[in-house]
Amino acid sequence: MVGLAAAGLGLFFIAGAYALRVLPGYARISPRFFPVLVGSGLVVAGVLLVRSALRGEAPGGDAACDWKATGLVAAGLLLHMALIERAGFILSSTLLFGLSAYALGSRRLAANTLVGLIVSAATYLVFTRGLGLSLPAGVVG
Amino acid sequence: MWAFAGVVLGTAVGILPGIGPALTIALLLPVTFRVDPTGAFIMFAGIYYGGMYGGSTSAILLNTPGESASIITAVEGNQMARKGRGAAALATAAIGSFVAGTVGTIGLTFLAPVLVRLALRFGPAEYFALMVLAFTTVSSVMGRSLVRGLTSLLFGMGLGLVGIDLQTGQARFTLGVPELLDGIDVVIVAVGLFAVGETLYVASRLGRGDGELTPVRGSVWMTREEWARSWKAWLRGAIVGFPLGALPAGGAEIPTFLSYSIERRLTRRPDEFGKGAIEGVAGPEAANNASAAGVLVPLLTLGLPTSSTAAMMLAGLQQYGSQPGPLLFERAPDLVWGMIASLYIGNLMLLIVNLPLAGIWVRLLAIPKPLLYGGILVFAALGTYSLNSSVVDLVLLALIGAVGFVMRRYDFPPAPAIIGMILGPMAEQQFRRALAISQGDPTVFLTHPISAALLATAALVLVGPRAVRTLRSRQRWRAAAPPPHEPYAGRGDAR
Repeated sequence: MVGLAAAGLGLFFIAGAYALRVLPGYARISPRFFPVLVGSGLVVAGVLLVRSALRGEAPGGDAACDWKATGLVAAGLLLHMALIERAGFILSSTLLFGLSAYALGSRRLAANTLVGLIVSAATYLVFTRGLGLSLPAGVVG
Repeated sequence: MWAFAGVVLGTAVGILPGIGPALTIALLLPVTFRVDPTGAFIMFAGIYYGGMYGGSTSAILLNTPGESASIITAVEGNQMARKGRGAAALATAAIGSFVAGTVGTIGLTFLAPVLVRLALRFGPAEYFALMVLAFTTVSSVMGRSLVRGLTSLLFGMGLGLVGIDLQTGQARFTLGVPELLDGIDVVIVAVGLFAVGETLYVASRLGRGDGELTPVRGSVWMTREEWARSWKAWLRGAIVGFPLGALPAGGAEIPTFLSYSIERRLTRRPDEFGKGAIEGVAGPEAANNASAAGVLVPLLTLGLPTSSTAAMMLAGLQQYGSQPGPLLFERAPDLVWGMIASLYIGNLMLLIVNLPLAGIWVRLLAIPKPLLYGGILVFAALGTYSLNSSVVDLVLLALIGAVGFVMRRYDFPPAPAIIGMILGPMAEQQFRRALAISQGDPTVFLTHPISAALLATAALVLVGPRAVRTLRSRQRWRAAAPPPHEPYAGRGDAR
């Protein structure tokens, strides 16, 4: 599986490399060369990985996997991404914090949300006031 | 002052389980944005040493090494903690780190100018060969197998290709996304692979293998006997660690393992090993820190990072527009020597901060895991977003985090990816420069003696171990034992 993905990525780089227009003056030291090298390397590595997987060598990591928890964390990241510029840093971060804490097994929703709110608000203040970085304020000015 | 802030921050973040020094630096990069270069360099040094030390604390008390270099420390140190000598274990680790860090920094002070003189004679061909050597050693030393290391390395190099080609001005692999023209920031990759990947991984294995906190007991002051048993181990560890760290071979595992086996052989109480022998903490911890100082030698003189932490430091330095390397010593000597001087100070600070405050640091370990990882994600997203204030970066973070999760799950070391990402574009540039100078004649790499020798070594690293293994394969089957518990994201993230 991973091997196939690696090989696929390799093909992508090779294809991308040949899609580049090469100006004649640079033909000798073309911007294609390295991508092709990386791409073919990935293809070779992918093939080797597939081979070792077919031979039945342990892929590492046991099969058990808690997809629900993993999915929740991923969902938290996606929501955060979608909301940060609309709802602002503090709210979206609080949500991210709460969701991932819930996913990792903590069931005290209210307390977690509060901690998340405090953490986000505190970092927001430190970063915008103290370090002069700008973060989207959103709903909460 | 900055050194103090760096040490405190570095230790605090480094102590948290699941955060190695590389991630510590990646997460703290945004904090250092607004500081002037000298202050930032000094702070980096503090974070670096602090992060290294922080890892050993969680190894001793939780038996979860925050980084591969602390695996050995976890073996003996956790046993000591269980016997009620946790405080002494922490003390010998702290003093050992100080002794070895000082020895290593002295080594750096004397070795760096010599190497700089040598490096000034390097042309693009030599640099390219040197990078090839670093690629091969890094991917073969780190992780479970060469193929895995190489896959990770190539993945990183591929990410490094994204953006405008420096020599022709063409956009490569941007998929039409304008935000990608500048390339992918290495901070995103590091945070994605380490923080997001690790959080997803922890979520996927919920309820398994939780470390158990062993309370610190006993006096911080070591007994006379413990001193007597420690000091030689510190020195031996330092002597083993520094040269191995300075070689472009990456990873603090080898020096720590080596130091452990030396101590085991030399001890008068072999029966105590595996049950909490103080030498088994003192030696490897010293080796760990000495090799951390060693890694700075190629980083500062050649601009060559050989561990993911060093790669992150390089990224930090680049943000200030300074490219480490022999020229930096000439152009901004006060900057470089200021940083080296701050290493001494940082080391001393580490000792002052850590001996009396060990008890406070331990509290940090009591943060419940769900909250801890929630916080890590918030900071990961914050650090990424604050780079460019762009949502595209967050999308990248999530994608790379997913890759990091897969890599973590199937045992691919993440460190080569980071190094490939930083060194890849540099290698390409040197390669094309060398060819431009030689007017397209590819034999330059073999006719220049230094370059040829480096390439030959690289080939040896790739082929050598396999040849040796084939010879021995009938006698032994994989001597490497699996690490205790489950170390954080991988062997590769040492330093």
